Amino acid sequence: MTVGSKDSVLIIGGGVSGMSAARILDSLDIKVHLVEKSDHLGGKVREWACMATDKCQYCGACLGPELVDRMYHLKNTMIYLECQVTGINKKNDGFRIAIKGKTNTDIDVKAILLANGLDLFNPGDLKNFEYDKNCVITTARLNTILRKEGLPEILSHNKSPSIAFIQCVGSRNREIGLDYCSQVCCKTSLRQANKILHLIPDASITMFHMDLQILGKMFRNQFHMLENRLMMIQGIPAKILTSTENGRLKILHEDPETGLRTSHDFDMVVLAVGMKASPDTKTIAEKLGIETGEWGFIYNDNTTYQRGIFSAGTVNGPMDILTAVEQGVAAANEISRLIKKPGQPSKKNIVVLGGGEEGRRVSSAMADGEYNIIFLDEESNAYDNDRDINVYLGCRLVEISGTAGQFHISVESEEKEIVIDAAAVIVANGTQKKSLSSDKVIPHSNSIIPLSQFHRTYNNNDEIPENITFWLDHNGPEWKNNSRKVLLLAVDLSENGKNVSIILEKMLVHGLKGQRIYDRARRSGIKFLRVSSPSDVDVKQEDATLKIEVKEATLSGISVNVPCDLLIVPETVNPCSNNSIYANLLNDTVDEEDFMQSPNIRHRRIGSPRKGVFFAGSCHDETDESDLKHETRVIKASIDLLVSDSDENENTAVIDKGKCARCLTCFRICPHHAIVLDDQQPFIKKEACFGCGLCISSCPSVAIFKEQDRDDKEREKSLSETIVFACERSAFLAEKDLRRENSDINGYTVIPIDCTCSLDSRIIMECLFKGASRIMVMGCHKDNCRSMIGDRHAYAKISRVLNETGISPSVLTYHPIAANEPVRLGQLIQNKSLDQKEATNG
Amino acid sequence: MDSAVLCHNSPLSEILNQNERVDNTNECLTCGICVSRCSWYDGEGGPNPRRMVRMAQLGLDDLLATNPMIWDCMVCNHCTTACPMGITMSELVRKARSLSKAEALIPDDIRKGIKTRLETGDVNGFTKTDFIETIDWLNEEIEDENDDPNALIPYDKKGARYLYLPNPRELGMNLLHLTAMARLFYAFGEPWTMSHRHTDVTNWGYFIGNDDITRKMALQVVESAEELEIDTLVLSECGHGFLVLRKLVEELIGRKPRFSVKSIVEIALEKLKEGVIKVDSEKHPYSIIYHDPCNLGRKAGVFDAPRELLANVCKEVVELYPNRENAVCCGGGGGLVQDSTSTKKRMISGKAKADQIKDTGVKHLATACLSCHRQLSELSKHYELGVKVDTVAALAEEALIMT
Repeated sequence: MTVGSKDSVLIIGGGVSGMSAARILDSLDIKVHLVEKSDHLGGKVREWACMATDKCQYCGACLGPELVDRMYHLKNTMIYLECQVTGINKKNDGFRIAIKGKTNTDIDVKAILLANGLDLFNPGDLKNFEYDKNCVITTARLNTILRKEGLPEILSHNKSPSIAFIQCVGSRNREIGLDYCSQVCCKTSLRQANKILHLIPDASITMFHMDLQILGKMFRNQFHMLENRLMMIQGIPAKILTSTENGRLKILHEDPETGLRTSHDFDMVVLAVGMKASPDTKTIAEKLGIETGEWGFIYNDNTTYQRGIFSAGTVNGPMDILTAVEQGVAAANEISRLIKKPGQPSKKNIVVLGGGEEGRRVSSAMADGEYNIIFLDEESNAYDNDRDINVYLGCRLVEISGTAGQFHISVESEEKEIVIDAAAVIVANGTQKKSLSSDKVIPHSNSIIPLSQFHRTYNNNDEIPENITFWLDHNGPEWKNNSRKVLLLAVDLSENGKNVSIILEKMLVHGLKGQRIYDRARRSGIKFLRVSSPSDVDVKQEDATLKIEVKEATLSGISVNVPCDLLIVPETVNPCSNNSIYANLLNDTVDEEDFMQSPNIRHRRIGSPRKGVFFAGSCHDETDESDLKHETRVIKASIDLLVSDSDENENTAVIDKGKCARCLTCFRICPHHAIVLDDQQPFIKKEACFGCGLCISSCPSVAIFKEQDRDDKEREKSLSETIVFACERSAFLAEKDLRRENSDINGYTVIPIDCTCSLDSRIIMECLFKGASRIMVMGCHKDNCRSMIGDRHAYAKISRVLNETGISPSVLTYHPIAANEPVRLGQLIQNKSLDQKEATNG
Repeated sequence: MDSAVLCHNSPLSEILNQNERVDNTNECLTCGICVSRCSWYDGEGGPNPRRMVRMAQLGLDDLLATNPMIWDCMVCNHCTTACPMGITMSELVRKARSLSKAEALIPDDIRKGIKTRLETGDVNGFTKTDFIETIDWLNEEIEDENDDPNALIPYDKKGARYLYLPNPRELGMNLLHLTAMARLFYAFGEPWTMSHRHTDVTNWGYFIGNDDITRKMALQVVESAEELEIDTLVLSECGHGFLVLRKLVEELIGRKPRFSVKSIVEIALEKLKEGVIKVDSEKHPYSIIYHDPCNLGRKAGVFDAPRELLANVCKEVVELYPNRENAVCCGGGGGLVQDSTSTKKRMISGKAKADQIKDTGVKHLATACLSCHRQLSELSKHYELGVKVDTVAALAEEALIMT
C-alpha cells in the first residue's frame, strides 16, 4: 500500500496549531502526516514559562505540553520530525508531497494545513539599535530562564534588582518593513513583569512602551493590578550603554515629570521582540500557488479552502496561544468537512441567546445552512433577517437543563413560556453602553456627543463643524472597537477637510492593519495628543464655546489648547446587568469584570466547562469583526465535534445503578453539568463528561467508577518515601518532562490522577500506612483547573485529612504546578524551590 | 505652565510640506527612540528630540522657534537614524531655525559670519587683496624649499583640472595646512588652481536653515568654479561644506553644476590607488582612531575613503563604538563650534565623544572635518585625554614620498 490515501491530510508544522488540528483529524479517523522541521514537537510554546503567580495568568502556554503528550497517543497520525516538505504537486483532486530529511518519502494527500508558525525578530538585525548582546536579553530568552527557574542566578541573587522591559523591538517599524504591531508582546512583557515581582517582590521594574496594548479578556483588570507596581514610561529607548565600571546597563530616556532627558541604570534589560513571517512560509506558498500578504503571512479564504489548502496559527500573523490552538481546531473541522462529505445529517438546533445587535450578527454568522438557528432575542423590536433564522422576541431565559446535544431551554417570550430543544447554546448578549451623562469628568454641553450619536446627528459634511476632537481612554483603557471606530471616523473627517484632533493615552493598533490605519490618520493631518490620565484633560463650556486644555504627556510643562467645536467621546462599555443571572443559569461564572465566561484557559476562548455552551462577542471578550468571525468559526467546529471528538470522551465515569443510593450528591457537584436525572436516577451523559472524577471520589455509596479503569500498575509498584499525586493535565505532564530533561532526581513515586478533585482520602491513608513519609499533591494553579474546582477540592480534602488524623502538615501538602514547570516540580520534590512557602495547606 | 494653541496648518508644517522628501514629522509615533539616542550628555542643557518633533507635529511653531533647544541641537541626525518612521531631525531643526520668530536667537557669531560671507565671499571678510597677498607670501616660502615652479600655489587659472576650495582657517590661523594641501596637489602632478573669488568651503546658511542664503552661498562657489572651467571641485576637509556642495547643491540651485565635487581625502585616496602618489606606510607608526564627521558620514555616506587613506599611512585604524552610521557627534555640530559663546556647552555635548575616545585608550585621532577637529582638540584638552588630533589629509600629506 502506498503511504497516504485519498483521505490523508498533510500538516506542516508541529506547534500548537498543527498539533491541535492533528488531534482532531486523528480522532475523526483521518490519516494525518505531520511534518516538523525541528527534532521536537511543540513549536515556540515549548520554551514558554508558566506565568502563574498565586493563580493562573491565562497565557495558555501550559496547553503546549499537553498537546505534545497527546501526539504520542494518536492512532492515525504519522509524525516526521527533522523533515521538510520539498515538493508539492497537484495530483487528481489532491496533492503529491515530497518529504525530505530524516525520512524521505512521497505521500498523497487530499488537503494541506500550513501551520509552520513565524519567527521571532532578532534584535541584532536592527542596525541602529545599540546594545551589548551579552548583557541584554529578549523576552524569549527570559521565558527560557524562567522555565529553568534560573532568574535568581542570572541576577546574581540580587534581592532588589532593577529590570527594564523595552517594547516594540522589531515591531511597528516601517524603516525595516515591519510596520505592524506584533499584538502579543505587551501582554507577554506585563505577565513576565508580574512573574518577576512574584519571584522577587523587591524587584523594581520599568516598562518602556510605545502604546500599551491593553485589550482582551480581563486584561484591563490585570493591568490595573500591576500598573502601580511598575514604572511605566512612554517612549522606547534604542540605545543601551554598558557601564565599564560596574557592568550595569544605562538607558537614557525622558523624565515624564520634567520632560528632560535623564538616565537610569538597570541590572537586566529585556527586549520585547516582535514577530515576523518565516521565510519558509513564502517558499511553501509559492509551491502551492497561493499568495502571502505584504508582510509574508498567509492570507487565506474560502477559495483556498476549496482547493484543499488551509492555514492555522501564527503562519497567518501574530496571535496568542489560545487563538492559535483554536485556529487549528477550526481548520481541522473545515478539512474534515471537505474530506468526509457526510450524507445530509439532520440539522442541529442551535440556540443563540442575545440582546439585540450582537446576537443578530452571531445568529447570522452561524446560519450557514448547516444548523437551524434559533435566536432568542432579549429585545422586542422585530428585525429583518436575510438568513433562515427563527427569532423569538422579548425573551427572558428561565432555565437550561440537559447536556450538550440535548439541551432544553425554557424562555419567557412575550409572556409565553416556550421550551426549545437544542444541541448547543451560544451566549451573545453583548454589552451595555453607558451614556456620557454619568461621566463626571465631562461637562454637559451641546458640543459634546457620544460616538454612537455622530451619524444620527450629522447627515452631510457641510453640517459638520470645522474643528473636531475625539477623546479616547476618558474612562480607563479604551475598548478596541471604540478605538478603531474613532480612528476610522477621524480619518474620514480629516480627509474631508476637517481639523481633527484625538486625545488619548495610547493608540490601540490591533490587527495586522492597525498600524497602517493609524499611519494614514497621522498623514491625513490628524493631531494626536497624549495624556497620562483623564485628569490631564480639562474640558470647559465657556459661553458658546468649548475649551479643551490638555497637559500633553510628551510636552511636559506645556498646556495645549485644542480648538474644538465638537467633542466626540465613545461611550463606556459595561457588562450587561443580567450577566450573573445568565451565568448562574448556565452553571458558569462571570469574570472579575462581570463579563460572561470564566477566564479559565482550558475552555477559552469560546467554551465553558459545560459542553455545548459557548460564548461569542463582546459579552465575554473584547471582540472586533475579525474576532467575531474567528469565534463563530471555532464554535461551528466545536459543535460539529461535540459528539465525534472521542478523545475527550475516553475516560468518562458511569454510575452503578445497583449501588446508587440516589442521594444526588454527584448531580449537585458535577462541575460540568454532565449528570442528568431520569426519574430520580442520576446517570452520566458520556458526551458531557470530562472524566474529572469528582463524582467518583465524592459518592458516599462508592457507586461511580471509570468506564475504562486506569492502568493502575503505578499504584501497585513499591512506593517510595515521597509520593506525588499528580494531575494528569498539569503536574503529571511536567513530571514526564522532568524525567526527559533531568534523570538525577529520584526517590519519589508519581501517581497520576484525573484531576486533584478526584483525590481520595482513603488512598492517601493507604500510602501513609504503606510507609510514605511525605505526600505531595500536585495539581493546577488556581483558575487553571479544567474542572474549575480541582485545586480547591484538593486543599479541602487535605485539610480534612490533616484535621482528622493529626499528622504533621509538612507530610501532606498541595502544590500548584503547571505542565510547563518541570524544573520547579523537580525543585519542590528536592525541597529546593524558591517558593516552597507556597506549600501551604488551605 | 506654558500654554500654546494646537494648530492644524502652521507655517512650519507648510514649509515642511513643500519638501516632500522629508516631510514626515506628522508621522511621528512618539516612540521616543530619538530621546534615547541624542548624544548630548545628560546634564545641563541639551535638546529633547521628541519634544522638538512633537512641537512641530502639533503646530506649536512659536514655542519651538523660541526654544533654545533648536540651537543646542547638533543637527547630527544620530537620534533619527533609528526612527521607525524615517523622520529627519536635521531638516526639522533647520526649518525651525528658519522661522522668523527664531531669528532673535541666532547666535551673534553666526549672524555676523553670514553677513560678511554674503558681502565678501568669505566668512571672515577676506578680500581679494588679502587673498593675493597671502598666497604670494606663501609662494615665496615654497620657493625657498622647492625650485620647481609647479610647486607653487596657482590661483585664478582657467581650465585647470582641479579647483581647491579651502576652509577659511587655512588662509588665516592655519596656513601650514594650506601649504600641505598644496604639496598634495603638486604630487598629483595635474593642473590645479585656487580662486580669489571664492575662498570658503563653509556655508553657514545651512546652519540657520535658510534655503535662500544657503543657495546664494552655494552659487558663489558654483559660479566662480564654472567661470574657471575646471573639471573637479576639491573641497577642504569640512563636513557641512561637503554635504551642501556634494549632496544638496543640485536641489538648492535647481541644476547640476558643470563640474564634479570631491573631498581632498577622496582625491588623495584615488591618486594613491592609481599609483600617482606614494606614501610612507611607516610615517605614523601608531594606531589611530577615526572619527566620522556626521555630515560626511551619516548624512553624505562617506565612510570608507578616510579610513582607507589612514590605513595606508598609520599602523592601524581603531574604531570607536559606535561608529559609521551610528557614530556619535563630536559635540560641535549644527553651528555650535562656530558660536564662540558655546565652549562650556560643547564640553557637555561632547562628553559622550570624549568617553568613547577614552574607552579606546588610543592616543591619536584623525577626522576629516575641521570643525570636528577643533572640537575634538578642545575635548582632549578639557577631559585630559592626551589625544593628538589630526586631519586625515594632513597625515596623508606628511607621509608623502616625493620622487
